[in-house]
Amino acid sequence: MPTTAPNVTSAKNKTLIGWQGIRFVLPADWNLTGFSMEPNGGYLKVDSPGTMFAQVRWTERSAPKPRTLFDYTLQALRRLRIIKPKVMDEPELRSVLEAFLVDTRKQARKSKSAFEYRIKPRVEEAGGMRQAHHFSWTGGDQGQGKIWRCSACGRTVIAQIVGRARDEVAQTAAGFFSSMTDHPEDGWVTWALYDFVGAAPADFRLVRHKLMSGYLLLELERRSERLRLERWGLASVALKRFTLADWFRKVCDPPVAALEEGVERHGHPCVQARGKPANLVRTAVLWFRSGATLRPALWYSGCAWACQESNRIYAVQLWRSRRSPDLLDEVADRCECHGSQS
Amino acid sequence: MRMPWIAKLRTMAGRALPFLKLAPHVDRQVVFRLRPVRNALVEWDVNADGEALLRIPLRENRVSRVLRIIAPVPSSRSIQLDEVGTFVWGLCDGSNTVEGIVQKTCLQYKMNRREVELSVTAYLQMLAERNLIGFYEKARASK
Repeated sequence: MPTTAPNVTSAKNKTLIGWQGIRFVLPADWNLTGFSMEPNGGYLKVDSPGTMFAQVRWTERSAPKPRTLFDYTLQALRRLRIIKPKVMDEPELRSVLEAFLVDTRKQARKSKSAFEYRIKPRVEEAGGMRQAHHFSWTGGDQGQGKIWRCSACGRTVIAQIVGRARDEVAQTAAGFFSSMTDHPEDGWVTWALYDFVGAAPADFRLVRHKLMSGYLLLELERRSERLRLERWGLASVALKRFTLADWFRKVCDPPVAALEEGVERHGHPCVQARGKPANLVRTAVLWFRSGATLRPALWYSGCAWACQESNRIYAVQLWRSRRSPDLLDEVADRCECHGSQS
Repeated sequence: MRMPWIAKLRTMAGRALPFLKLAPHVDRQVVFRLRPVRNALVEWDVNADGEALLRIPLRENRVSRVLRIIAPVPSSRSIQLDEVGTFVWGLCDGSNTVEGIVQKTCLQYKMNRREVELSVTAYLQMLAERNLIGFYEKARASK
């Protein structure tokens, strides 16, 4: 596995967006304004400073939830490979797209404009992994989009760029689609928004997030393990009265008393802490948080560094079980700080 | 411009039932062209930490005069701004537009534009609600 993420946003006029395995590049100053956290799919909306916006909607191919004892028995037999796995019904792309365009037509009707659309014939992309239809529509606004199904991850994705008649929709859409990936290639999912670029192993699921002005939190879980990626703005203000170590102790409250200083991350001084809490109460809290499991996440690894170039403080914290590998260094190395400035 | 009768009705009803009130349609571009300017009655000093202390004179009325006889009533109240608040307050001199303030704050604190837009507009709105600043739009030169 590579230890560092490719610096996709090093080009100054690009914004990288990464969310739940979907990853794409848009022009600078485009920002995420809407998203959903549905279990079997998702939605993203990214707005430009002007009138254009990008929309991505995806659904996962997943088996229906077992409801009866018979369903559970079948599921168990499939897991034990006693019977063959069920072949999922694949949605017909053209009918999904037409349903989507009907919704768009309804919105265009409000602006009392004639709605027209064009769907191009199906093409195979990405070495035959994707079956795609390109489409475009006009009606009040204009849109250029693409629907595809990826055979590698089983996702069906609809993505489009929408703008007014005077906007350069086609040019933006070309860059948008050429950069888009729908699943992680190396087992690491990129999480990128508001100039933050980080990554976590693909089996970590997002459970909590906070996207505030000057503060960003992504909390991911894998069974009892927990990974927190945090970023604070205004580092110059926050570190005016505290050293980085004091600030880390006060804000992140690591359960391990001894802090390791003199470490460097991305060329910046970093503080970190590793180990198991000596305090019994804190250990009990971690046991309780891990739930009913034989592998409670009692081992802590955490670090924080301040990037002067971007005036931000980054913190990565991981609670893991004894047998799990310590991913702190890999996760922290994959966070981009001053390299990701757009 | 004539106001539609339904809008007139909702405006009248909105005085008693606020949920019926029509939300004013404000264009984002117009807001970004406005120039915030400090209330001339507010006095302010910046301390050694670069944080401003605003002194807002209290209104003199009959009640305050009576109260002053009974107990000492301060003639002004103070508001302490933080460093970023002071920076934005300093830019509210009537020469900067909201757009200009957003851009200058982005550059000064190296923050994402959207983050700054949201926090600066909310902050200016709060200052305006407390009558600490007002807004004006510079007249455009006619062609």
